[in-house]
Amino acid sequence: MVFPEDISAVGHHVDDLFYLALGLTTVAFVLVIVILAYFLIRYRSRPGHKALYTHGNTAKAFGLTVFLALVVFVGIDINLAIHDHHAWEATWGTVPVGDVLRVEIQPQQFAWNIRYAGKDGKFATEDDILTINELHIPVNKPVIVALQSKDVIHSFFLPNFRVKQDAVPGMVTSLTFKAVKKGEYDIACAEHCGLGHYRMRGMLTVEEEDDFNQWLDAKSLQNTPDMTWGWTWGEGK
Amino acid sequence: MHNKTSKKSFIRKYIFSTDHKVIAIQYLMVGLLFLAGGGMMAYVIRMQVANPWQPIPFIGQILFPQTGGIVMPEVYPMLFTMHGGIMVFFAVTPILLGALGNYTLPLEIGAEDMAFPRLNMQSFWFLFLGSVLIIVSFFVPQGAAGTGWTLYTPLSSSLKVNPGWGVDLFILGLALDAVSILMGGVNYLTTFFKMRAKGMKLTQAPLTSWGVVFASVLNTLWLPLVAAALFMVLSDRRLGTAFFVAGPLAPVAGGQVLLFQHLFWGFGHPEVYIIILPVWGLVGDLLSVFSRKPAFGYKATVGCMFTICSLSGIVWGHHMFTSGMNPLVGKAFMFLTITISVPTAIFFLNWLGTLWKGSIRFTVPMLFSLGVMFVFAIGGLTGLFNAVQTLDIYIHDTYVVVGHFHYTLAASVLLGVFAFVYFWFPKMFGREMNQALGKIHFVLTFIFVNLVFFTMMYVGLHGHMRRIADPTAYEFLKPVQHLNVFMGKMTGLLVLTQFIFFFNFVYSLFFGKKAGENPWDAAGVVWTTSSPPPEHNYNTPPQIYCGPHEYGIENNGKDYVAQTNPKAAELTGAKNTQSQVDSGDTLPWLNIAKTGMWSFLISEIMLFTGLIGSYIVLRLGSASWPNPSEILNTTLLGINTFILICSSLTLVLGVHHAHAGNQKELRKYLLLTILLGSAFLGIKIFDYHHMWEHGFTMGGSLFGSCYYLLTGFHGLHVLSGIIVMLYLWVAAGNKEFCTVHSSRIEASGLYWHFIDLIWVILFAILCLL
Amino acid sequence: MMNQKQPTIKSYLGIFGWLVVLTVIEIVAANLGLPKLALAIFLVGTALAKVLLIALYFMHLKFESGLIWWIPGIPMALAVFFVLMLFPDIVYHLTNKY
Repeated sequence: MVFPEDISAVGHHVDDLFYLALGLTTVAFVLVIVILAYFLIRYRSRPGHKALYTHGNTAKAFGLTVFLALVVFVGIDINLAIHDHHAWEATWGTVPVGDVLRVEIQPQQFAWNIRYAGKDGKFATEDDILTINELHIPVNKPVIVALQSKDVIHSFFLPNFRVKQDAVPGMVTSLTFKAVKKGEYDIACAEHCGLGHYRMRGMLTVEEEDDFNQWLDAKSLQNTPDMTWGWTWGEGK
Repeated sequence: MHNKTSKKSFIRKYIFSTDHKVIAIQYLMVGLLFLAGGGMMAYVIRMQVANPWQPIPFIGQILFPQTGGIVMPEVYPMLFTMHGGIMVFFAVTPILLGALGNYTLPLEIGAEDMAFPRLNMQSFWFLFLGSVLIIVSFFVPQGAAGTGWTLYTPLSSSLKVNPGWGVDLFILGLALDAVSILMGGVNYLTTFFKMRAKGMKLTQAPLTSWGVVFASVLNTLWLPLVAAALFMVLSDRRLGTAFFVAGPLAPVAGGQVLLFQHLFWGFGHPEVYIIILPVWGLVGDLLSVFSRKPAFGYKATVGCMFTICSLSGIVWGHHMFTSGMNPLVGKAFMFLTITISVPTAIFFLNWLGTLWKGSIRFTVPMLFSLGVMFVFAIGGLTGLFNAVQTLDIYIHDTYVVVGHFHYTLAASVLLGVFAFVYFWFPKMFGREMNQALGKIHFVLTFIFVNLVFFTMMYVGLHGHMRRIADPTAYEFLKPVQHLNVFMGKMTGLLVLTQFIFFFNFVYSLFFGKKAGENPWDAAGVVWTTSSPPPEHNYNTPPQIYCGPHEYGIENNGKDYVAQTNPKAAELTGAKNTQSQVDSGDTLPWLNIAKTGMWSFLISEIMLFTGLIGSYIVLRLGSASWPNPSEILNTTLLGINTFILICSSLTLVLGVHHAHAGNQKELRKYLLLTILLGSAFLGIKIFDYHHMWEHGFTMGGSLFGSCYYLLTGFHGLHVLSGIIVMLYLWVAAGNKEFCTVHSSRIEASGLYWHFIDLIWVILFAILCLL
Repeated sequence: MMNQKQPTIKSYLGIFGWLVVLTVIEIVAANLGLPKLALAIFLVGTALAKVLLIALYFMHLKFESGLIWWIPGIPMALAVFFVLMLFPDIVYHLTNKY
């Protein structure tokens, strides 16, 4: 297994893109190395063997190299770019609408502050539900996470969804994903943020919607409101 | 032509020498020392990741005695930060540009030294001073910088989260190194374009020289951009500004975090090409020498290097796909990035073309060149994975990226460094390195480099983040931790292998077999002079008759035609006979002094682009901006503008008289310029003081920060200009200086007018608008 | 190339005069209370004029080979590209946000 388990709806686009790139570059690499090895053996210096005097400056030689370079460019680069376009549209390019779970996260040195909107559906209000490092989401429901760092740059990384997004102080960034499998998974910080960067681990729990709502209710009972952070959804600070 | 045999003291000959060959060796020594140090750090890093919080085997106790050889969580970031910073700026740059560039460029173009030998000497000592600061930074109370060599803000620029002097010393050390590199750039560009030997057309210069030249072009253009950014980071840390800090950490509003990343990578991406271009050039030459064939498609290769050089400056956003940068801008950067594949593929194919139907000699430099081909193929191809936006978002900040750039840096550049040393050692030191040891060194290095960095990319695909001290903190990384252990061991073996090289190097310096003029049967002009060359390189200035790659031709028992062979045209069957008085001067319409000064002014344009450009976008991106006339003393500023314009007039009149040979008038006008410049500074200082007393401070508002930063930098340039003018005024006391060196006076004048020009811009868009 | 007429002392004084005049005009314009955009366009124009005068005459560009324009030209083109690429993020705040 090259990749960690993919529990997302669209993360396979990333894996597919990788395998396509791997296949194409491996073909190119093997071709080049085979030719290189062949040249090294066939044209090694030995008695009676003379080198061919040519500058390779003819139009034919130049044309051949340009042609081969363009084959590589179109066959690999453009190919990948086109597939990337489709992958982008499927992953980052569309904002989910309708029944979506929205979460605000404020990473800090060295923990993830997580905020749910609560019963009123609005953020930065008294009934918001807050956790530290515990992100629960219902399975099969799109999630949009909005991020804004409290101090330095952090990066919200979900390896099992193939997505990450830097959290920057002074501005809001966001990402979207949808889980199709239940379980417990890691949230990692992927931008060096100081001496505790290595232990800035969060826990993502994917569960049935009913279980999720139960958990949220239980949390709201223990909750103490925190108005020191949080922002109106869709706006900045 | 020099006939005098200079009897120099030991100090003048080996310490403060202006001989490019001595300076190159000085750079090589410093570079190799830091390479060893950086390599040790790599070993510690990999052992920590392999066995977190265990004592580092063998050297842990020596490095970290207080903790029993254990790396502490706050020390780990210092290790990977300084490893990166040292390797990039104090190891490979001094070795490839300072040593390879300095040593080979004048020799390979048939010149007797660089255009500006004393500037060359100064450039080494600036590097030396910079490296002292870097070493000192390890010993200050809060330790060395721990932000990553990329110094992302606000982690680097906020004293609240990053107290101590580690970052500051790192930046100052880099600044001194930057001065060294920019001085070098002026020298390399001027020397290459103005001082080639008679008959050497541009298309007859070796590829190594072209690599060094293109690297210098990139340095001249882009290094000032990061210099501007780093000065702004220093300002955020120590002068109370918040250019790159926003949110709760910011002392004042208006700063933007992403601006730093744009400025940094605007330099950072060209930087990786700066590092590899000399290697590409060197490999192109070496493949030719050791295939006994001309470099295939030489003109196309040079053209491709030029194209890559041009494209490298417009693709930096591919380092920022996850930063929050606008995604459409990201897409644009992706498309620009992949175009670099085309010229890269062409010159790589040309390398294969050189080998094709050659007569390949597997010498140690050749083995390393072939090794570069292999690892660069992997490095270049893995670049594609990172260029593709959607895939990059997953692999960014994982070991896939680290593996990729170590393939292009630690592998390709390192093997290139070894190719350089093994090939040029005989010429530089007059002795040969042991070839058997060299081959063992190659085989082992090649094997271990691939084992470490290929495994690294695999681990990264699993999602393994970079820059984390303890991967076992994460559940999902447990399945690959055994590979970290493997990499630790391989890195240890890789580092051990390098002892073979260092031993060979030092031993051969004293006991190596004596080398002749041309130990490699090479055709370039440099191989017609002794090993090592005499002080002025060639006993008689060479005359060039063909290119440096004329191999594969029967000629008097040899299989090549030397560049200095008068019969080259008929022997090689060249169509046009070489004109014997073909100039080695590409810019006959621009004298050496002005060429040097204009090279320098390119850097100044880019420095002020970084500063003024940042001001423009920060202001336009601000919610509000005060009215300058309500805060600044526009009358005083207007008077200062008038004074500076007058000083440009007096200077231009002075230069006019210098050309006319009128010493008295020249000195009069130089003095007037100095007085006017000093008046400008005096009024500025008075004005600063007055405004500061009235509450307009640097850290009080973004406008204040921008105002003091821009005008302060400008003021420092005025001060430098005054010092230059003072020197000229003193030197002009000698009548000969005025006439013989009037071009230097005019060139210096260009700097002064440029400063005036910058003030004109600042006055309009900063002080009045 | 260098066969053009070389500048005379008189021409230098003339350029100086123009620079002073332009500076005075700028100061006057800044005090007229114009709308910011109009003032910006005007001041950028006068600054550009002064820069050209200094570059062409004092820095001698008018009297060198035309090829010399590549030397300042390339960094200026790159500078414009660089600053423009900053606009989406830094000026318009069009960073990645849903």
